[in-house]
Amino acid sequence: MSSEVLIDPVVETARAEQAERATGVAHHDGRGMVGVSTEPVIAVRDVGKLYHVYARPQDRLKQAMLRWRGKKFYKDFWALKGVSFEVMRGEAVGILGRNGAGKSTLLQIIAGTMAPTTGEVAVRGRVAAMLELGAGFSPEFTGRDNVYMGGAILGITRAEMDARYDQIAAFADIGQFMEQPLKTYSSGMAARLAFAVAFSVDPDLMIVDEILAVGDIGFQQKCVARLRQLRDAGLTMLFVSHSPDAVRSICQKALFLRDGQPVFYGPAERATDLYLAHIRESTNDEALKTEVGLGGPVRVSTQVKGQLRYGTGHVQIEKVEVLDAGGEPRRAFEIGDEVTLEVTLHSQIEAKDLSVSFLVRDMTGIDVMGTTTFDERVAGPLIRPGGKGVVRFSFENRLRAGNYGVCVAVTRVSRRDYSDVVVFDQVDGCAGFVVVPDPDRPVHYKFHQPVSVRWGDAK
Amino acid sequence: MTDLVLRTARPASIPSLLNPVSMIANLWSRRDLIRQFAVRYFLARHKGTYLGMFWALLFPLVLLAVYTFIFNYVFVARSVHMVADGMGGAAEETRSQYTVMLFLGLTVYGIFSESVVRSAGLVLDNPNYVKKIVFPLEVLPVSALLSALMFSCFGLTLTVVGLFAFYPEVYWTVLLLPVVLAPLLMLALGLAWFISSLAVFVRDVANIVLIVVGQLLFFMTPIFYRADDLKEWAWLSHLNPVGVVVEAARQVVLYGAMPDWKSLGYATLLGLGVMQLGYAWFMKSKRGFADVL
Repeated sequence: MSSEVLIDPVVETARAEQAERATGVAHHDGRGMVGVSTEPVIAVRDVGKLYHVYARPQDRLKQAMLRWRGKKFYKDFWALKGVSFEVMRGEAVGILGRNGAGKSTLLQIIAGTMAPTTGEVAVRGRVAAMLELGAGFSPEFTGRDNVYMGGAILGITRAEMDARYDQIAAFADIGQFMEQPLKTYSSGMAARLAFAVAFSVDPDLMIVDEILAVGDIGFQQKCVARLRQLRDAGLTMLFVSHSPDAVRSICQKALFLRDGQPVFYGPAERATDLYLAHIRESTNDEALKTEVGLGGPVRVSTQVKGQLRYGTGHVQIEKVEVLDAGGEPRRAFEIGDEVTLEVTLHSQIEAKDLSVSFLVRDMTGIDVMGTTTFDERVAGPLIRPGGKGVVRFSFENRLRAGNYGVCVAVTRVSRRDYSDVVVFDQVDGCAGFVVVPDPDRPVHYKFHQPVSVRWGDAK
Repeated sequence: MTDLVLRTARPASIPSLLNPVSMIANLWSRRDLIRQFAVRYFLARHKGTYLGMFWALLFPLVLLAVYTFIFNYVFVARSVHMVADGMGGAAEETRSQYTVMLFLGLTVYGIFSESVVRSAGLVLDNPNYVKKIVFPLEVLPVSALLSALMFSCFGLTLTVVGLFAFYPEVYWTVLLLPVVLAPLLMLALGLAWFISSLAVFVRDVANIVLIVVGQLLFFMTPIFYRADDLKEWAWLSHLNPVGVVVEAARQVVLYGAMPDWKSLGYATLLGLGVMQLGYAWFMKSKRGFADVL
């Protein structure tokens, strides 16, 4: 699917997962053990949620009580349709999607606060659902009271809570505020308390909806560390976020939902890539609508290798090459070498205001450097329909040793704030190069920025 | 890892909801939660006020003063009634005795009205408990009822004080009070389940309940008067299960007499039925809460 404009609403299930299940013989029950489990903690089968959109609340009651009359008091809206996936013990799974894609609905169904319209969800073990931070807390009562109440809601008796209380107070780490009414807390403190309670109940499954963003950095790190620790001890996690970075850093797998339907379920990297592509795609559609004379998307005909490609296709990337100072294709560079990226474009339209950009991504997925012809204020020549154009980016290599991937994009933009940008074509991972280590000039960090050094006499 | 929970599109079956054993088992397994919420409701009422729990005592005292004044001196609703004088004879009921009688009625009615009126907001005002956490909502009306019972302890204590002060004798039949109150509690709980669910879908329910329980039923129940005072309308009071319980409570607490077992039996059966139906209604309809809140 390298050369096609992506994303069909088809579920891809990771082959690796099936293989794992086929060979997963090491069944275990005990806590604190890590291993392959054959029993999914969550098994979602063909779950759908049909919202009956009611004009008035009393219509909902009429529907519930007078259903046998065969009359409909509502309009149909499928918030979720045909969702099936399984989560194994110890897996952390992210759920991605834009607003209204059905993420929260799915979490609520799995958590049990909402009933599905079709299908079923099988959940094993104790569930701690944090659909909203401190949702069960009462502002008038003290932190201590709320801890016990939070425990009771999760099914833990007072006596059991007594045993865990010190541990909770230590994790929340809010000192004397524990004895103050919750209404005096800052939102960060309330978040600390909520997490402390959720962590204390030894859940088998933790459901977290978009709340890791609260609290200070120190506490976030504490939470992530605790989550990893619990995950290693067998905790299964389901995690909703708008932030693909957060999903990548915590989850091994992710489910990408679009308009209530699953698009992809598999490795988190791929799911987040698809999700980002989808977001840019829809932004493009918006831009196209306001653009006169471009017409609809054009089928991509050029062949470029790459992991992910999207755009309207009016101008297409035909070739991307990495060259050395002599203009010869090369893969390996040392620090200080000149690197040239040569991008060949093919246009279907009379293309003006073109901007070509590239970025260099390291192995950890971080975008290290890059630029655009627009930002460099180097305007390109006008390309006639059917014509070609070539752009060369040259830079002195200052990156540390390692493998690097290159993403290239061609856009149309004329405003400095990029408010009118249209992505014609973007190919992620269309080229790459290697920086070999130089023992005489080691680079310890991501890249080397020239630094001037002077010695002087101490005063 | 053994407890497997299935969440399906199928609603719970009606027969299982109408089974009292499964209802009691469900509530019993949540007893810790019920207790904590009951205490919370009880404490939250006067939390943050200067007088604190003293309000719980002050409130019935003020009511007592007002009703005593109005019904003893302004509208004399008291009919001539003979009560035991403690020496084997009978004497006309005194103003103080009438006040204690009135107050017992108020307190008993208070348990009922407190929990039923409050029930309209139990789910409606807590959308978080419906949508944001996994919570057995059916415990809320139970906790509200228990909290109303705790408040009634202040009124009942005042009644006992009056009993010792103004009545010649305190009878052992006082111990029957829990038996007498049982139908009222079941009725209140069943209605609370029904109303707390209905109010989610139809917001007008809160107002209707306020008028019916706060006013209509209040005056239809023999509180300032006795069922007998209604003369040819007395049957109305015997049909009203709340009235039956109020009258029976007076029999056992004030007069050392047995309650009217036949009426009480009717109230008990009615209470059991309303409770079970209210529970079934709540459990069935609660699947729709998240859709409209």
